[in-house]
Amino acid sequence: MDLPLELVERCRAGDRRAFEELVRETHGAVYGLALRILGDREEAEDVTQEVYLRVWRGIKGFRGDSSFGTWLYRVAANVALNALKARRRLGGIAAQLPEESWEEEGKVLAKLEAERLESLISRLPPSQRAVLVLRDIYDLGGEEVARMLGISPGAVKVRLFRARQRLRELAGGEGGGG
Amino acid sequence: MQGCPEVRALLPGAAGGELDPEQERLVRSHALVCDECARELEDFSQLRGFLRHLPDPAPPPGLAEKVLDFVWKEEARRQVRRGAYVVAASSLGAAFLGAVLGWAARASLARSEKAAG
Repeated sequence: MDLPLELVERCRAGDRRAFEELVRETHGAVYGLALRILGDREEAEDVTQEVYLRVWRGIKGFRGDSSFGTWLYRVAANVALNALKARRRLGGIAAQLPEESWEEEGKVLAKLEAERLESLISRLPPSQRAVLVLRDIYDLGGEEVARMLGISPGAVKVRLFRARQRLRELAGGEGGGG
Repeated sequence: MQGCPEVRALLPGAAGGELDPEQERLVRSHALVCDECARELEDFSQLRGFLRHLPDPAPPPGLAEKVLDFVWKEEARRQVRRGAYVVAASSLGAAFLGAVLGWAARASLARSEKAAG
């Protein structure tokens, strides 16, 4: 996500027009991250709103140690993960993942379409999905993801390996024993 | 193939460069002689490549405007709340000041009466 530094600086100075431009430029990425973690469009919309409220109120604290895009992804990941935790507290709806049907085609990775891959990601258990999304799609660091999730870096690794394994199985790429 | 179970458990990590050097060597040397594990390793590498370049899902139409509407309304509410706090704090401050001044006046009067009496 590349944004002009000048736009971010104007937002930091409290320029509402600049913030509106920033939202229009970046909301698709924030919504995408939320949707991938939560697997629910309405919740992803709510999270997107909450993310930008936090960004507007907290952008003065953005010091530029990382890129603005990385900072925005961190805020979005935290809000989405909190929503996931709240959902669990409210009765474990997370377990009711969409069971979309698709035809198994054997070894399909080479021609896997983005839409199908998204659908397969949504079928991962939420704890694995969050790690896979943050590490493999948004490239956040293992220790950072561990802090966000309140687990050890080792546990992040275990979940990540399991998520990749499961995703490969779902994609029909399981090649049998060796 | 000997060593497959051990190596297969490491393959998802090998694709992401998350193994330690010893594990990495084990996987790479095994993949040279085991087609199944080599294919699986290739799958994980491909999968990782796809994930890294996955385009963002399209947001619903009008989401940016909805977000901005939400943010500005929340900010307006916050301003109103802040205003209410300022009024409440000012009222409390005035009441406290009045009480202190009243107490001081009464104490002063009592002292004067005592001195006169």
